[in-house]
Amino acid sequence: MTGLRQASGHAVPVVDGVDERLVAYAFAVEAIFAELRAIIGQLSGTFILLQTRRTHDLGELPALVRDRRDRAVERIDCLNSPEGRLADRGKLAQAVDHIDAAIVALRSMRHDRCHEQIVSVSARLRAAYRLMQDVCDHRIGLTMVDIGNACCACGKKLA
Amino acid sequence: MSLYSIWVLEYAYTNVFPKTGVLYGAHNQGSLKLAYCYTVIKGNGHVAMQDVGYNNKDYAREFADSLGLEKWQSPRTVLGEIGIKPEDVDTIFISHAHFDHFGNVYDFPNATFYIQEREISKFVWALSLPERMHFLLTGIDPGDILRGVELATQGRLVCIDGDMENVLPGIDLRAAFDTHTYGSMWVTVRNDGKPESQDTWVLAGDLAYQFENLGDSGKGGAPDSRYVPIGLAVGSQTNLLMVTESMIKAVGNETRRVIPPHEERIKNRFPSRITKDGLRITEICLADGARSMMV
Repeated sequence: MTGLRQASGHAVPVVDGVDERLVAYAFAVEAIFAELRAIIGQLSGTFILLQTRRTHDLGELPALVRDRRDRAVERIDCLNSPEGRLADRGKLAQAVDHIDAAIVALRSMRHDRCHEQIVSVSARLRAAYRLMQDVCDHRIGLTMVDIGNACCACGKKLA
Repeated sequence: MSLYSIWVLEYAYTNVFPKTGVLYGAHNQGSLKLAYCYTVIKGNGHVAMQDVGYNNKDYAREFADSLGLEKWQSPRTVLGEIGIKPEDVDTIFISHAHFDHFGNVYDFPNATFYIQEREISKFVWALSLPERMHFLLTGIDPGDILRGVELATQGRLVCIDGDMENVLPGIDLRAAFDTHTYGSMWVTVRNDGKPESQDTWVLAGDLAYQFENLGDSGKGGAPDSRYVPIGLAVGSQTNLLMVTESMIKAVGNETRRVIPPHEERIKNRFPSRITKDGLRITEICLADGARSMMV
């Protein structure tokens, strides 16, 4: 059975019976996830459009991504992981490192790009995504796919 | 003349989908079985699909726990029921980028994927909004978009802008902007190949989940009740209803020809069977000379 917990207006699906301290931790990590998910999505979507539109224009993307990245780093620095989750902080920090490398590569592509650069950026983003997946735990609402407000999400409550 | 065979293939289902998710306003009316399906269009030298299902490899346990999804089988198993391998698929139309439609692209190594550019560009735009606006991103896995980068790098992702006729002979893609998602699209199959077809099928994607969305009270003829929009729209209910009207008109007002892949009851209208894995195969139509997959 899955219920919904709420903090700061954000509903997170949580499996019943999970330690409340873990739930509180999950809210802290979710705030980091929100930024990193957004960065990966923005960069990925933009790369698709760059390739299909055959353009170099990145618009305001680098600045937007930089702001999210900085907020994520602040929150990672303040993260207090409980027993059993001690590795999370390191993984999230590594994910940021990969994203930083992707941003550097992105900037170098502002005026020119080659296939190898795109493959390299894609690989960095995949690495960041995989590290976030390692931290995921759907029992405490840490997911890569946000279905918290999807119409199907409360289905299990009706069971 | 019939150019294509069409099958709707169930790859998973849930028995606890809230009715209000499929029919806007059906609050507190319990839940129903929702089939999770993709659609195969085969003929004229092509094997095409609408959508590819979700990423069970990474999310099996999560989706089972959170959404009540069960009985997932791989594309290899599901397509095998109609004698097709994933490598045979050459063209895939992505109706929209939700996780259960765009999640499994890796399983199709030889396909070219078509998606509305707006689906990608508005997703990127929505991500630039503050977190409090991120309802607009419900159901999208950034990992799927990341996999789209690889497809684009390989030249296998085609981003289209609006309608596209004859993407394959007799098959058109129709934009449904700002409806269920920003860049949703539906598929028409003009099975006689004629511009003014008398044998058109519409594959609705998530623009319709149930017959009632189409104003079909059960007879499958002309709409005989009000259109009822689906539950989730990051666009608008108005646009959903306008697109519903377009889909109905495309099939000459015969609602049974608009296929909602999630609708369990299509098994009552078209030949269907249950596989050994407990999943449903529904045969919508057969191309000239094609063998039925119901035996």
